[in-house]
Order: sequence, then structure tokens, then C-alpha cells
Amino acid sequence: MTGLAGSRAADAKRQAPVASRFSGFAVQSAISLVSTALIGVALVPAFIQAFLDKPLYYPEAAFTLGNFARLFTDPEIVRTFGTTGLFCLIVVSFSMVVGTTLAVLVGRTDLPGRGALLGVLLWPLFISPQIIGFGAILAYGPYGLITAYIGDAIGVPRPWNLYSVVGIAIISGIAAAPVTMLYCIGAARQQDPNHDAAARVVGAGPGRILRRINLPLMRPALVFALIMNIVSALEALAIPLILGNPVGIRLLTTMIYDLSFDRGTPNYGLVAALALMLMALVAVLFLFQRLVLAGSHRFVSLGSRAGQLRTLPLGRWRWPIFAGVVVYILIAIAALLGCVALRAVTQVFSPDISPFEVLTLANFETILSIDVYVRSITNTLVLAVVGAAAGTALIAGVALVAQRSDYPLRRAVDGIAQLPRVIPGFIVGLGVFYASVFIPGASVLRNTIWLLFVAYLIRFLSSGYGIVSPALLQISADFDRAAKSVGAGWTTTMRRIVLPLSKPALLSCFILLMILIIKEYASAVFLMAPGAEVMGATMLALWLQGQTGPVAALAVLQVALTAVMTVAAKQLLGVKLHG
Amino acid sequence: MASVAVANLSRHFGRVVALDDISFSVADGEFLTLLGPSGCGKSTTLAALAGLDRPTKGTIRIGDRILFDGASGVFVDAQFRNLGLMFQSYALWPHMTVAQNLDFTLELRRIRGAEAKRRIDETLSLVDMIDFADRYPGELSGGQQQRVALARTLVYQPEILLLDEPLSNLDAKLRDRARIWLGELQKRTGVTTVYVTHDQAEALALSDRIIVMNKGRIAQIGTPTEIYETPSDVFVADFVGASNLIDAELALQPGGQATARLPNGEILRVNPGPSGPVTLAIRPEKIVIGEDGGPPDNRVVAKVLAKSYLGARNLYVIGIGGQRLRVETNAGIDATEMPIRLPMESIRVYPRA
Ligand SMILES: Nc1ncnc2c1ncn2[C@@H]1O[C@H](COP(=O)(O)OP(=O)(O)O)[C@@H](O)[C@H]1O
Ligand SMILES: [Mg+2]
Repeated sequence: MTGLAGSRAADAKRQAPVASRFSGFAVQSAISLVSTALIGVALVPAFIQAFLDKPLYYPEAAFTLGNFARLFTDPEIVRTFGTTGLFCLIVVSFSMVVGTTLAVLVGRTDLPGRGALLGVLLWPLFISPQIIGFGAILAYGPYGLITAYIGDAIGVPRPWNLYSVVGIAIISGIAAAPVTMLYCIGAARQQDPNHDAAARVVGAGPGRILRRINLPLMRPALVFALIMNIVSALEALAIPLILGNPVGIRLLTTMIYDLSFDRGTPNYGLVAALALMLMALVAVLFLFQRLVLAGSHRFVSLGSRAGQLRTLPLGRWRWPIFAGVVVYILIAIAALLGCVALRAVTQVFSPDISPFEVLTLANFETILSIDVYVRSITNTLVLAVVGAAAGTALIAGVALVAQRSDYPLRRAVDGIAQLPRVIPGFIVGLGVFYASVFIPGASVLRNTIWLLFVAYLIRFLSSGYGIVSPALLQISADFDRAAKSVGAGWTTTMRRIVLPLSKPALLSCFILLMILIIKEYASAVFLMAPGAEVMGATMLALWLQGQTGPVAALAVLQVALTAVMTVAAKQLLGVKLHG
Repeated sequence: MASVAVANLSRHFGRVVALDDISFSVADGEFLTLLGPSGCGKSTTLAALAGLDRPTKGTIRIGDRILFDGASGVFVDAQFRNLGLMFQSYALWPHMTVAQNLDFTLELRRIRGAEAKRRIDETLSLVDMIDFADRYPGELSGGQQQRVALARTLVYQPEILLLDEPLSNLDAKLRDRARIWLGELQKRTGVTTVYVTHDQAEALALSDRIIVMNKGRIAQIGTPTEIYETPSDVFVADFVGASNLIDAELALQPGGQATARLPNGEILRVNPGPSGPVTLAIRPEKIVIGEDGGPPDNRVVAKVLAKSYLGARNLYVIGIGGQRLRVETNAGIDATEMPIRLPMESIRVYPRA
């Protein structure tokens, strides 16, 4: 040991470099500042606009409460509240009932082929809701394929009316059900098997275990899913717009859309006031969730995870229930996507003409030759790669500050990262649009994809944070402390220890952001401009103009891109995007 | 290497007082153990020494550096303390090989190239892990990980070595071997060591001195012999060596002698202490079974209530005066009653509140 002891004196001089006591403070501040600024961009201008009588870039714009007053006096708007309420009620009920049932069936019972079924049932998560809307029109609309077949079969032409509040709501419910499933299946599976075992030991049968143990233990997930469903119903734009607008059914969101596009001079003040009100509603919901779940430690599964969750046997209902799930998949997923795919490869789409007589690739040729389509594809791809990379970097930084630092404001940073979850997508778009008008110099970004880039960073902050932050919690804080104790500063520790260890989560985050950006339309509709088109918003705009063929081709392309990415992520990288 | 001086150190977590005004020092090269039950504040003390946690008040000095002074607001962060801390969980970075784990600490000190290689090899040889330099921590057994973790704290030659229950994740047999090995290693390197454990056997075997802690306070500081032979209070007597505790009433007799009356009226001769309610403590192995030719005092016939075979010895639970005592002996006894003697010099007397 003489060697070790001998060089010790020399070491004293070569100790870890003494820098600031607040190691990493500057980096942490920068990350906090950027994330705060981004959220500010989305919210502040919209907030100011709500209290101005003219667009906020007019110098003579003055303070007013008139926008809010109009919200409650304008008969058209008041009528919209009623419709929106009914719409939300149906969407949420449908999504909760279908989603929870499917989650329990797939997650806890011995349903045949439940692994494969789960994959298919979750598909709509990765598909833009507007594509589901297109599919609904093509399949179940007044001139839809299936409407006609069923009508012929039972001798009643047009046996249902898709273009009704109920019809729109059910289609939106189909789009929302996978979200419920996703929240509930985790809760259904993660339960401590000992709860089950304990109940079995005291003599409870499978049905009773489900009713008395499993479902009550899922309560936090159910409440959370309920709130998220209400939020997503409130902010739903594409499906109500495609299905409702042609027949004059208006929701809060479609009204905001109309107000900002259809009339000669957009009434930004009213739009902002409506948007604020929508967000206030969402905020109240989250407050409510906090209250309801105040004692949720009661639901935390404690103790060892040893042992297997026993699946609940369905007995003789096994195959009938399986058939039911398959029928649901056929009606709610396969028919919609099938019709979109058919539309993409046909010249005309009508129940009177067999699709196989009018097969064509013209729609694809169109989207690959006409500028607008090509640009929207390339822009989307560029934004997907660049946006996902930048978004992942931002999210990683935010998560590290919030979870892995003693930054004084880390709780606030955590809150900020959760905030975009409650900001409806098109409000983010509006906010960024207002900001581009409001912030000096920001106007150079207008009509470029970089405004969209900013909007996407804000919009998907929570989504990525939701993957990275729990993954960070899985990495023992002892690793950081060990690095600190051997002389590493915060930045070094994060870069060399924590980030490399969170690589799988960061990869998942990157892929998820790519998928979300490819299917995004809500925040893009207000930011789209000639030269800055993206697939989601282009599809919506062109559908409303009646260009259904090319739109269907774009939709197929979008779904294919997403599918390739999901499969590649799973197969090549072993990335898990859910479950 | 350096000495450590801790004075009036307190740590409050909200209303929880984890450390309550503790003071102690560690001499250069000394092996000092913090011993106490779970939750008594050992890890909090170690974290304060390491600079991972900021105490509420007090001072900490290492060598001639003031690392924490609550009054003047000085707090040197862990990053700058140049101490070696070994975690109960080992906290080996799983994405780095054994050699890389060690090398990272040298890189932070700008020790690179041949010098870094020499140090890594030397330290890995010291802990007998040189053949595993290119393995990842996940490919090592618990005992091997423990050695690597120790090597990682030694390779940059810290001033002080801090070990938080380093053996608690090993199985019993491995733990005995690792304990001997650790003791030898500390002697060889001569590094000042603060060792945390709740295992009294470890503490007694390894330490130059032991600090017994109880509820955030220091109960006793002393050499292993002092702690074992003359525990300063009932808590230490019970925690270290698991004494039998007997409630009694002490009376001073004329001539400086003292007697203790058990609840059933039995009288024992004991060392003098304060008269009134007391707790008597006697270790299981100090109780004499049968006739040993000793003095005639303190002999009773005890009921044998239970017996368990420990391999090398037998443990009996016996009843005297309505109280249960544990007795350890080599002898095997089948009777239901046996004569025992409680040697006066082995009974320690503590006043009872
Ligand atoms: N971060 C903390 N917040 C609140 N209480 C704490 C915290 N860390 C430790 N404590 C409390 O301080 C006391 C001492 O803890 P600790 O030093 O970990 O005990 P030991 O290592 O001796 O088992 C315990 O009562 C523990 O609950
Ligand atoms: Mg501890």
C-alpha cells in the first residue's frame, strides 16, 4: 500500500475542482426558464387577448369584459354549451364503459388471444381522430358503405343518422376508449397479487374478487381516466368538425374554429375568452380529481410483487365474450380503417359501385405530385424527427431538474411539465399564433414550420414527461449520490450517470413524440400557412373542401408511417410505448 | 487522511428530530462504528459527514477544513469533500464496467493515462477483483459487488471512508468472511473509517471505538470492551449483547452493601446504586448454572420454560420470580428445574424512572 499512501499528498492538491456550491444551477435555471417561457407563450397572449376588444396587435385595443359577457348572453353560444354538455356525457360514458370493460377483459381474465386483442384495441391511440372521423363517414355516413349494405339487408334505407349529436359522440367515444383502456389496464395488472391471494384464502370467488377488490383498487385509475376523457371530449375538434359542421351541429371547439376562420374578421377576443373558459373547466376537473383522490395512498399497492396475478376464469362465457370483442373490433376499428383504405385506392366511393371496379393509384399519385401534399408530407417528417429530438432533449432536461436536482423551484418545474396535459391542443396553436403576433421579432417565424415546432414542444411536453419521469423514479437516487460523493457535479452526474441509464425511456419518448407529431392536427390548424402545411391539418382542410380521395391516401400514408415506426420501435429497439 | 470532529450536530425533518445535539470525534486512522437500531439516526449522521444532507445546526470538521457550520452558514457539498462513501445498495453504476466505475472517480480528479491505470489495477488487486475489471456490475455476485464498491471508494484515496451497513446485503456466511476481510483491509490502508451498522457483532469485531446511538442521541461512546462490559444505561445493555432485564427495588444496607428485591420477594445482592426502583441487567452467558463453587449469594432454583439448541450452545428460557430470563450454556439440561447463580459482579444496576 505504500504506493497508494505515497501519492496521497499529491492528491490533496488535485482534488475535485472547487466550483460553485450550486452545482448545475445555471443549467437548471436555463431548463426551467425555457420550459416556463414555452408554457407562457401558449397561455399569456391568449389570456391578454381575452380581455381586449380588438386583436392584440392593434395599438388601440382596449381592456374589456365584453368577450366574457357575450359568452353568456349570445344565444348561439349558450346553445352550444348545451350541445357540448350532451356530447361530453355520451362520449365519456361510452369510453369509460367500453374502455374499462375491455381493460378488465384483456388484463385480468382468461380471454382467448388477449395479447393480440390488446394490440388491436389500442390502435386508435396511434391514429389521428380525424381518420376515425373520415372512416365513420365512409362506413356509416348517409352514403356510407355499411349504411347501404345494412339498409338493403333490412329494407330500411339509412337505418341510422351519423350526423347527429349521438352519432358524433359515439364515434368520438370509439376514438377515446383506448385511452381509458390504457389507464385502467395498468391499474388492473399492477395490483398486488397478495390482495387477490388474501381474498381467495378467505373464500371469495372470482366474480366477488373482481367486484370487491380489483375494481375498487382501480378507483384512482378510473377517476383519472374519467377526467382525461372529459378533457379530451371537451377539446375534441376533428370529429365534431367533420361530422357536425355540415349539418350545423356546433360544439364549443368547432365554434372557436369557425369564429377564427369562417367570418371575415376573426373575433379573436371571443375566441380567447371561449378558450380560457374551456381551460377553466379543465382546471376545475383536475382540482376535483385531487380532492377525490386525496386519500389515494389507500390504493397504493404495498409490499412484494411476488406471485402471479391469477387470471379470472370466464368459464362458459369465454368464447361468446371473445366473439363480442371481435365484433367490436370489426365495427369500431376495422370497418373505419378499411373504408379509409378502400377510399384511398378507388376513384369514386359509393355503395352503388363495387370498389373493385374502380381501383386506382391516382390518389397516391396526386399526393406525391401536387405541391401542397408533398410539402405537408415532407414538413411533417422534418417536424417529426427534429421536433421529437428537441422535445426529448427538453423533456429529459425538465425531468432531471424536477426529479433529480435540489433546484429550489423544482416542484414548480414539475407542475409546468404537467400543465400542457390540460391545455387543449388548438389553444396551444392559438397561443403560439398570438405570441407570434405579440412578441417582437417572432413574426419571422410566421408561415414557417418553426411555429409548429414551438407549438409541438409545448403540446407534447406532458406526454413525453409522462414516460420519462416515472422511468427516472425507477433509477435509484443512490447512483446520483454515489457520483456526488466521488466528486461529480450535477451536470456531470446527469450526463454520465442518469441520462445513460434512462436511455430506454428516452428512446420511447422520442418514438412517442414522432408518432404524436405525425398524427397531430389540433395545434396545427391555426398555424398552418402556405409553405408550412402538415399532414394532419392539410387532411382536415381538404376534407372540408371535399377532396376525399387524396385525403384518404394521406391518411393511409399517415397510418402506415405510424405503424412502421411502432413496429420498428418494438422490434428493433425493444421500446415499449404503453403497458 | 484526517481526523473528524463533530460538535452539537442536529438534524430536524419538520417536527422529526433525527439527530439531537450529537458530538464526537474520530482520530486519524481510527475505525469508528455508529451502532444502533433502525431509525436511530446513523444514516443521517453519515449523510451529514458525506455532505449529502445539510444538518440543521452544529459543526463538522475534517482535518483542518470546516465542512459545515450551521451558525455561519458554511456548507461544503459532497462533491467537494473528497470523502469515500460506500452505500448499503453499493450503487455501482450499472452501465459502466468495474474498471470504468473506478476510472470515473479518477477522471473527475484529472488523473488519466498510466497513472489512472496503475491506481485502478492496484486497488482492484487490493480487493481481489482484478480479474473482473471488464465485467459489468450486473454480472457480479453480491460479495463481488461489495468489493468493487469498496474499491471505488478507495481508488481516489479519500480522506475518510464512510460505510453505511456495507455487509447487510450479504448472506450470513459471506458476511462473516467479508467482515474479517474488511477489518484487515482497513488496517492495511490505515484510512480513517466511520462505519454504520445495526449489527452489534460487526461493531464489536471491527471497531477501535463504538458510538451507540438511540433515538437521535448518543447513548455511549467507548471501546468494544467498555461498551460490552460496562454499558452506560439499560438501552445499551439491552441492545449490545441482549442483557436480561429484571425490575427490582434497591435498598442500601448498613456497611455499604446493597440488595435488590424482585417483585416476588426474592432478594439478590447487587453492587450499590441509588436506592429505589431499578433495572438489573445480566447477560445470558454470565448466569451460572448448577454448582460452581462460587459464593453462596444469589442462588435460586429456576424453572426451565423453553430450550433451543443453537449448535455450539444451548439457550434456555428460565423463570425466576415471575420474570423470564435467557441463559446460554454449553451444558445440556433435561430437568424442569435447575439451580442457578446470578453472580453479583455480573449484575449491572440502572435507576428506573
Ligand atoms: N428525508 C427524511 N425526511 C423525514 N424524516 C427522515 C428523513 N430521513 C430520515 N428521517 C428520519 O430520521 C430518523 C433517522 O433516520 P436514519 O438516519 O435513516 O436511521 P438509521 O440509518 O439509523 O436507520 C428516522 O426516524 C427517519 O424516519
Ligand atoms: Mg440507515
